[in-house]
Amino acid sequence: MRSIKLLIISVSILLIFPVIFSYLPAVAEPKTPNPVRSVGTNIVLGNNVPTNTSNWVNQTETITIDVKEFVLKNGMKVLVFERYNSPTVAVNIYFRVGSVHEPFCQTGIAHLLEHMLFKGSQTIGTTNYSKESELMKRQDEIIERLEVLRTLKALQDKEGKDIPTLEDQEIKILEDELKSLNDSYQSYISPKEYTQIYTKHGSRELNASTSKYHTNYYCRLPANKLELWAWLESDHFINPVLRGFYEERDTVLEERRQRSEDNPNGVLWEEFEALMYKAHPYRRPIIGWRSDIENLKRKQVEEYFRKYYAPNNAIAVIVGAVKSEEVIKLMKRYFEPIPKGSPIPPVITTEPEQFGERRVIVEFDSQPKLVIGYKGTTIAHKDDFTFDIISTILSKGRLSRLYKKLVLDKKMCLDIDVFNSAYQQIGHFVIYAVPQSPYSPEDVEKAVYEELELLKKEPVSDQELQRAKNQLEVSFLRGLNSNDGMARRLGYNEVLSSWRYILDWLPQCKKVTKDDIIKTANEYFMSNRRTVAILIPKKK
Amino acid sequence: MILRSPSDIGTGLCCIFLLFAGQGCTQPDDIDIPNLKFQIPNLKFQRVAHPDKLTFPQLEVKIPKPERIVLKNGLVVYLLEDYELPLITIKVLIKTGCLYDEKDKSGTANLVARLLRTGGTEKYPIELLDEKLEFIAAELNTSCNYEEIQITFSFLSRDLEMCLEILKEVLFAPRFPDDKLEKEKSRILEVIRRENDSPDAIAEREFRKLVYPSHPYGKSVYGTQESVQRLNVSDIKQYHQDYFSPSNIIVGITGRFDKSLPGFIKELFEPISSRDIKHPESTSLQRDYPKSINLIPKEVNQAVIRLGHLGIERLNPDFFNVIMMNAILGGTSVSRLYDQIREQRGLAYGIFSYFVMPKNIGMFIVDTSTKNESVHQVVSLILSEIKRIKEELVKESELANTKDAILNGFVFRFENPVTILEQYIFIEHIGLPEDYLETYRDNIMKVSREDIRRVAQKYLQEEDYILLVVGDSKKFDRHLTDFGRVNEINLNYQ
Repeated sequence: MRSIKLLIISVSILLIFPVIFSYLPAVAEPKTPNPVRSVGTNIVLGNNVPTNTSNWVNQTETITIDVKEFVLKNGMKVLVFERYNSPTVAVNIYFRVGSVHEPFCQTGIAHLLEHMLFKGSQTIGTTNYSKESELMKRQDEIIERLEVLRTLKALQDKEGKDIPTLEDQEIKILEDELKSLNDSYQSYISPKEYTQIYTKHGSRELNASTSKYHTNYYCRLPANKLELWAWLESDHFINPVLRGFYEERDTVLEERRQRSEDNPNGVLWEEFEALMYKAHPYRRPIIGWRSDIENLKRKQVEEYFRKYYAPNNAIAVIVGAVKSEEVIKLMKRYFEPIPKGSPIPPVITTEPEQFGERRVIVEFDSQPKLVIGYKGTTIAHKDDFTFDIISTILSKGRLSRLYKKLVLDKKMCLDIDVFNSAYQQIGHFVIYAVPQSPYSPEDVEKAVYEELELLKKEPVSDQELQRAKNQLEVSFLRGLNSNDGMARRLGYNEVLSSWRYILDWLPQCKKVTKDDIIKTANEYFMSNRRTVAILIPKKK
Repeated sequence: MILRSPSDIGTGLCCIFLLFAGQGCTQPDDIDIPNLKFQIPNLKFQRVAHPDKLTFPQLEVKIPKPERIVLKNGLVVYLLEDYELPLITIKVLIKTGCLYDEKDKSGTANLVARLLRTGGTEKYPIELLDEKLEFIAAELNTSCNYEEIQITFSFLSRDLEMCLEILKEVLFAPRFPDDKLEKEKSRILEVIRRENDSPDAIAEREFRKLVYPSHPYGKSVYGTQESVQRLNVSDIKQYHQDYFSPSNIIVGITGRFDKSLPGFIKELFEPISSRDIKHPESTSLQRDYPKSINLIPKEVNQAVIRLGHLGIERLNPDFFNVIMMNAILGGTSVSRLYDQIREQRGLAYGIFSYFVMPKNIGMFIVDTSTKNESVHQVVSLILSEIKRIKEELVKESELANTKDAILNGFVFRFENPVTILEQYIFIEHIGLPEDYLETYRDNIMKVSREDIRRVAQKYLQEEDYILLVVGDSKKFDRHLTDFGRVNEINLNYQ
C-alpha cells in the first residue's frame, strides 16, 4: 500500500452582515497534522434589506463554517464540522447507493438492507453465532422451498384442484420444521441488542434513511460517546448478520401499507413518479414494489451489501462538540483496516425524450389532490438555482404568488407547495396542491398554469426577487442551527455532487436575475416536460 | 426511513460544559475476527471485544438557567442568550385553549389562534404585516391545544425591536375582520372534511371521544362543522378579551440580544394592564374504566388500532414511576411491545404506548397499525404485555437499561436553546417545582421494580379498556367479539 493519503481541506463561509453585531463567535482553528487548504466564500447577507436600525445592532460580522475533509487509505471520506454549543454530536454514515442502483426485480432491496443493518453482527445480537448461522442456513432453505411450493399450490388452486396434493404434505412438514427451528433460533438471537446499546448510552433519533441515491445511518449522541459509534458502525462493515430477516421483511410490508398503500399522498406520488419517468430507475418507489419485496431473499440482500457497502463508497459526517484530530484518530483506527471494494457502477439508462404531456387519474378513498411536475435539471446546474428562486417566489410565505392567490385570496386550495428536486441525471420541479371544496383539481390546475405563463412573459418585481433571496438567506442561516440538520446537508450534497454545493448555493441563488427566471420558465414549463397526477374520490 | 421512537427529549446549549478527556482512552485488545461466511477475512482491529467494555470520558451536564423577569402586570418573561447565530426565537404561551371553548362554540380558541396570524392588528392591517414580515423573512406561527395557545416567532437579531412591537400588537391589539374570519372558517371546514382521508386522523379523533364522552378533552381542537359555522366575530373577540391578559401569558426569548433587552421589554409591555382571568371549571373527571370495543369500518389494507383508557394528570406524584413503566412497556424502540410485535413477528411498522398528561386526568394509549389479517393477534399481544407488566416485576436489566437511557440522554434536553426555553415555560405553565430539572435524574434513579409493578397495577387495565379499530373487518384473523360486544361506528362520508 502507498503511504497514507490524508487530504484535509478546511472551508470557511463568511457571512457578512451590514448591520449586525460585533460579536465574532470564537471558532478555534484546530491544529491538523497536515497542511490545511482554506477556501473562503464571502456571502453578503441581506444586502438590500431595509434596515430598522436599533441601538444595539449596527456592526458587521463573520460566521465561519469550518468543515474538515479527509480521506482514509481505503477511500472512505470523512467530513467534520466542530460546533461547541452543546456537548453532543450528530453522526452519519452515507453510502452512495440507493434505489436507482437496485437490480431488476429487486426493488426495495436498498431499503430492506437499511432495516437489516440494525440487527447486529456476529458479535452484537447473538448468543452463539455458529449455532445461529447453522439454523439460519436451514431457515433459508425451508423458506425458499416453501415459497416455491406455495406458488405451485396457488396455480393449482386457480385451476380449481382443491384435493390434497403432495405439495400440501410437504408444505405441512416444512412448516412444522420451520416452527420448531424458529423457536430454537430465537434462543440464540437478540436482534435488538444493537439498538439497545445505542439507546442505553443516551442516543437520540437513531434511524436510517434510503433515497434514490443514498442510504444514511445516523443518530445523535452525547459527545463523549463517539467511540461507541465508531465501534458499532465499523462492525457493520465487517460482519453484519441479517438475522430476523423474514420478520423484518414483513415489517417493511407493513411500512409499505402504512406509507404507500393506505395513504393518499403515497399512492399519488407512486403513480406520479412511475409515469413521469418511463425508463430511468427514478420511476421506482424507494420502498419497492410489493411483489418484489415479498420475494427478496436473505442471500440477495447479502450480495447487495457485499457489492456496494465498501468504505470507498461511504462518507462519514460528524457535526458537534468533537475535535477533528480525535475524529481522524478514531476513523483511522476503526475504519481504515477495512479493505477497499469496487466503486458503484453508474446508472446506464437515460430517460428518453418525452413527446407530450402525461396524465393519470387516481381513484382513491380520499378528497382530491393534485401533483403537476416538469422534468427539471441536474444538481448544481445554473437552472437549479433559478428553480430554487422560482419555487420560493411561487410558494414560500404568505405573499408568494401561488399561496397568496390560491390559498389566501381565492380559497381554491387548502395548501400548495412547490419544490425543486435536482439529481445527478435529471430532476423534477413539482407543484403539489390540496384543492378546497367546491374547487376541483382541474380548476386549481388551470390557475397554476396561469401563474406559470405569467413567469414566462413578465419579469418579477424587484421587491419579489429580493424577498425570495432574503428568505433563502435566512433559511440557510436557520439551517446552521442544528448539528443533525447540518450533517445531513453536508452528506446529502456530497453524495449528489459535492458538499461544497452548500457553500456555493447561496451566492449562486443571489446571482439569479429576472431574465434568468423568464428564460428558465420558457425552457422548462412545457407540456412535453409535464406529468400531471390527479387523485379523485373513488366512487362508492 | 425506518420508524424509531420519537425523541421525547429536546435538544441543547452553550451553558453546558464539557469535561472532555479526549477519545481513545480505552485499552484496545487485539481481536482477530474469525473467518466466517459473511465478512472480510483476516482483519486485525485495534478494538475491545464488545462495546460494553469501552470506557468513556466524563460528561458534565450543567443545567442552563434562563433569566426570569416578572413585569408589574404579571407577564412572565424568560431570557436565554445564545450568541452563535444572529437569530432570535420567541416562544409565547397563553394559558388557554380549546378546553375553555363554550359548549356550543367549540373551535373558538383555534380560530383565535389562527386569526392572531392572519387577521392583522390595529396598527398593521394584515397586508402591511405580511409585507413587513415576509420581506425580512420572519416566521410567525400560532397553534392551539387543549390548555395552551402558542406562538413561535423567529427572525434576524437586527429586527428584534420591530418584531417585539409586532408581537405586542398581535397579542394585545389584534383585529378580527369579518372577511378574514370567514376565510379561516372555510379553511377549518375543509380540514374537518378531509379528516376522514386518513385512518390515523379518524382514530385519533374518535378515540378521544370514546375516552372522554362528557368532558371537553373529548372534543376536537377544530370543533365540528356545525359549531364552526355558528361562530361569529363577537365570539372571537369575547374569547380574546377573556384570556389575553399579560398575567395569563409566558414569553421566552432566545438568541443573540444584549443587556438592554429587559429594559426594552419592560418599556414595551408594562403599560398594558392586566385583567382578572377566570378559567371556567370544567366537568370533573373520575378515574373509571367503562369497557368498550369499537369498530370503524373502512376499506384499507392496514387497520389502525388504538387501545387505552384514562391515565394520569401531569402533577400526579407517580409521574416518574409511570414514565419509567411506560418506557419499558412500549415507550421506546427497545420496549416490550416493540420487541414482541415488530422485532419478533414483523406485525407492525411502529408500535408505541404513551401517557398523554394534561392538567386534569389524561389518557394511556397504545398506538399501532397492522394488516387486517393480524388485528386480533396484535390486540391479544398488547393485552398480554399489559397483563405481564402488572403481574411480574420487570427484570433488573430492563430497569437499569431504561435508567441509563434517560440519564445518558439527559444532555439532549439542553441541546438547543429553544427546547430549553420551552421546558421552562412548560414548567411554569403546569406548576411543576422550580427544581424540576435539577432533581429530574434523582427522581428517575429512585424508581424501583416494585414501583413499576405498583403503578402498572394502579393505572393500567387489561380487562376494562377501550379498543378502537379502523379497518376492514371481513379480513380480520378473528372477530373482535372475542374481546367483548362490538360497537360499530359509521362515519358520515361526504
